[in-house]
This record gives sequence, C-alpha cells and structure tokens, in this order.
Amino acid sequence: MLKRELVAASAEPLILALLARGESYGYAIIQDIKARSDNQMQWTDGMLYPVLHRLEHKGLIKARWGESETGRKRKYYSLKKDGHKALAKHEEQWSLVSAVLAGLRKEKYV
Amino acid sequence: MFNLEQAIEDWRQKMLATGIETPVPLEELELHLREEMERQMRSGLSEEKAFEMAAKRVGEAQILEAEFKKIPAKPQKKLFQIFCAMSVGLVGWLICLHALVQLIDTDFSFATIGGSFSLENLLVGPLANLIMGLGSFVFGAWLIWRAGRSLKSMTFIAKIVLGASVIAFGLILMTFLVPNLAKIAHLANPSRAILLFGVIVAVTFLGVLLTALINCFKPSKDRSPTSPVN
Repeated sequence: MLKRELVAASAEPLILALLARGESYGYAIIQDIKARSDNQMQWTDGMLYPVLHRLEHKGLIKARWGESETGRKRKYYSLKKDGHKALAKHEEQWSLVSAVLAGLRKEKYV
Repeated sequence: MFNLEQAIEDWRQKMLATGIETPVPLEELELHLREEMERQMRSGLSEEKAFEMAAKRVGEAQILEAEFKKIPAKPQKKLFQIFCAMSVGLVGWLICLHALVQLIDTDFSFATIGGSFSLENLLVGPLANLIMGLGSFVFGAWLIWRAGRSLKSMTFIAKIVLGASVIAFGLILMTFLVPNLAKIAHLANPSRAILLFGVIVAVTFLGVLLTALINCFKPSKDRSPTSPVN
C-alpha cells in the first residue's frame, strides 16, 4: 500500500495523465487508478471530486454534463490546453525524482 | 424493510447539513454512490449492505466538505459575496447611527425616566427610546460584525476601503434622514455636506471595486493541497 503523502502528491498528475487519454468521469477515474495500481492506491472515492473541482478551477480541465449508454446522468471531464502543459511539467518533475533515485540505487551497488 | 430511496435521501440530507452544495457537487457524489452500489450488488451483496459499503467509500460528509471548502470561490461568487457584505454592513451602520442619534436626542434625566414610570413611558417615552436605541445599536453592531466576518478572505486594504465606504455611505444617508447631523458635523449647509460625502463615497466605492476586482482575479494562495485520501 502506498503512503498517504505519496498518494496525495501523485493525485494531480495521475488524473491529468488519465484525462490526456480522453474524457472520463469520476467513477471511471477511480476504478482506473485502482486497477492500474493493482489496488495499491486507495483513494476515498468522494475525495476525488474536490481534486477534480480544484483542477477545473485552475483551468487545467473542463467539465460537461452528459449521459451514459444507459441514460444515466454523468459529469465528464477532459483536459484543457493548460492541463497538457501542467501534465508535461509534472512528468518532467517525476522523471527527475525517479532518475535521482535510480542513480543513487546504482551507486549503492557499484 | 430497507428502503433504498429513503436511505439515499437521508444520506443527501446529511451531506446538505454539513454544507455540501447542490446540485454541484452533491449530484455528482450521489451518482458515484449509486454506481458503486450497483457494482457491490453485482458482486452479490444485498441492497442494504451495498448501500452501506458505497456510502463508506464515498466518505464522511464533514471531511468532504472541508476539502471542497479549500477550493477558492469563483470571481462572480466573490463579487456577489462582497456586494452582500456591503449591503449588510451598510444596514448595520444605518441602524447604529440611527440608534445613536435617537439616544443623543433623548432626555434621560431621572425626572423623565423614573419620575413618570408608567406603561405609556415604557412604550413610547424616553425609557422605550433607551431600550430601543441600545437594542438597535447592538443589532446594528452585530450586522457589521457579520459583514466583516464574511469577508475574511479579503485583503486588509480592501477591508479598510470597504469599511470607509460603508461609513461614508451611512453618513450621507443619515444626512438625508436627520438634517441635524450636518450641524453636528459643523457643516452649515446640508447640500455641501451631501456633496462632500458624495465625493467620499464615490472615491471609496471606486477604490473598493478596484481592490475587489484585483483580489478576485489574482491567483489565490495555494492552501494545503487537496488530497484524495483522508
């Protein structure tokens, strides 16, 4: 299970990365994250929405009300131009952290 | 017998009671709740158990509300809040000033209050004036305090400008309502007093509008990050 702080820090880049693949809605985002992390990232479902609304407020994503195949109301989120830029920045920063960690690990075994 | 729609309605009421707004985000949370419940039921749980599990997964109302509160208000909403606070503050000042004038104008000597202690004095006499005046003053002060509290997120300068504009506006209205006030302020000609107060009001209102606009559109300070875990 991932640490709470790490889950919190990675929420924004993960949501942006998921939405970069196409529009989605809250429930699907949660399920996708759980499946991809092999249930190692446990989000409190409802807590996703404040994060989504914050991203919307920051102008990184936009929302629209639509309908599912079964006719159920759904709020779909998609990435805006600034969202793509923010995602690129996140990827750069996470790659840096990962590279530094990998470098230090390598040195350990030299 | 478990009634699903009643259980969802109770859940909605609980969310609303903590301050979660409808339709957004409550509708969205309810849709999530229903979808999660259906998934739980497909895996074999009873309707009641599925509802309990789904509600637990969505999270506690207070914690959700605290997270939603961290999202800054939209500029239009902020301007509306400022407008409401100004109106409430203005009414507060008017009531306070009116109460003060009423108290100043009243003869509170023992002879008038104690000397003619009667039901008539209690209802319309100086004692009634004293009670009503003090009561109005406390109520007006409370309104001003409420208005100030609702503008917690405003900058210090905006608050000062807002306060000044409300006082000036209150004074100009009082000049209309109580002609004696101009004399108290050593302004012999009431129309000149009105002009002077008018200029103060115009300048301060422009100031507060400008400050409020700058305040609304500047990026908000990043408070503690919104986290999807509690």
